Amino acid sequence: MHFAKPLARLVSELERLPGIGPKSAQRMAFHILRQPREEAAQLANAILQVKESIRLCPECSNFTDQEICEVCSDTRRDRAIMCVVAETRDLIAMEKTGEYKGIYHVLQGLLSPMDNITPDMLKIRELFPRIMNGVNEVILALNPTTEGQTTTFYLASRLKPLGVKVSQIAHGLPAGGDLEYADQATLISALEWRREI
Amino acid sequence: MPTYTTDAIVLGRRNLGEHDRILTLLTRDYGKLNAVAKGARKGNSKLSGATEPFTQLKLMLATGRSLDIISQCEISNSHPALRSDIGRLTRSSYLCDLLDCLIHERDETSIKAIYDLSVAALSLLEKESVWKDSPLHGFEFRLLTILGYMPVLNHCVLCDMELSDQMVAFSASQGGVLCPQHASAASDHFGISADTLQTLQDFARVGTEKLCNLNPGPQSILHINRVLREFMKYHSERTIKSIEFLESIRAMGN
Ligand SMILES: [Zn+2]
Ligand SMILES: [Zn+2]
Repeated sequence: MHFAKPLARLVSELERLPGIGPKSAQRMAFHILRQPREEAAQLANAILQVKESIRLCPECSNFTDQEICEVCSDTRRDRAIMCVVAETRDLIAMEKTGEYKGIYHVLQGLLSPMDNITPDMLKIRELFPRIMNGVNEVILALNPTTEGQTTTFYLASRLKPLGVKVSQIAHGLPAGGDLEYADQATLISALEWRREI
Repeated sequence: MPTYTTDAIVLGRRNLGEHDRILTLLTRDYGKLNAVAKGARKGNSKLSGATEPFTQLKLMLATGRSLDIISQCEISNSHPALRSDIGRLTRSSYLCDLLDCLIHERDETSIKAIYDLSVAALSLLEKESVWKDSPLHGFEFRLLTILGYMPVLNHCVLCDMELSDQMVAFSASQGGVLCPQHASAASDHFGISADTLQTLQDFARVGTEKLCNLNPGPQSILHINRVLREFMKYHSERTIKSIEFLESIRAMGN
């Protein structure tokens, strides 16, 4: 017994979403099937609208539905400090702290030796003219993973010759973390990033 | 669920669902296998630091229906020095990718030797070497030997003529060097200098400690990189993605 063709097609489309296995895809497909028509249409419209109205900010490569994103169009932002992040969701996480007042640059990914994600596949070329335009400090806020560190070292080697101050956010124990359970790499970086009190 | 313990190196990882990861592991006792690290993507998880490539682990695994599940995990070496610059990060990533490409799942043939060789190579990559690629190429040659793919370097593959101190050709498809008369027998051949041939033969001969002192000229370096690149590509069933990235990092002088 096979699914009817349109249903099978929906299942296979859903299966392609990140984190969705065959079982979840089937569950979602049957849910949609049982939904009133308007609700299913709302979902379909939301998907299409995202594709039609969201674009990359021409300045920082953040996702936006405006001509220029909210951060870039905010005149109170300090344009001498730039924070480089991998994804829009990282930008949002930084914004939630309420501590950072500079501008951003979203790379739209990280370099990956294992997946052969090279600099030309990310928004790296776009970074340099922005920096030449009055930025004097760049903060690299990338994940402490193999890919994040690879990207950090690459950017640092390209940015330092421009005479701009380059720093990397501290890596170490998470708030509420436990020394006993921390791995070697975390402890070593926590030591490296120690500061006098 | 039955459990078993083993030492392992993390070769790669991919996300599973919202919180979990599937790790590709090279284990010392059971060969290459995939296992689930439950909760590894939650920030406060004990497992989160253990899922980075080239981390060495002591594991207890539970046999699952499709994939085995990590039930206990201790980091024996997270190799922080390999994460200290882009050259080391890229070479270690390539080493793991290469193992993933050349070793078949659950194949236990010579696995202990391969495992120990890999651990030794990661440690060597942490140290300083005159030529940054010598620990990596030393590893590649030894891995090829264990897998039975070692290229023929002392005599012509086709006529057995002894070759040393002379310009020769190399062909991945023929499995080694060719004398000038037989070079044209392989469509993928390219010329290598006498110096390069000498360094290639040294790789097969010198011990691990001496590897770090090898210091060939720039032309030989380009040729040796090419010999190994083409040879590895020839023996891998799938694309070794990290090889292109490694080339671009080398080209930048790392
Ligand atoms: Zn913007
Ligand atoms: Zn011959």
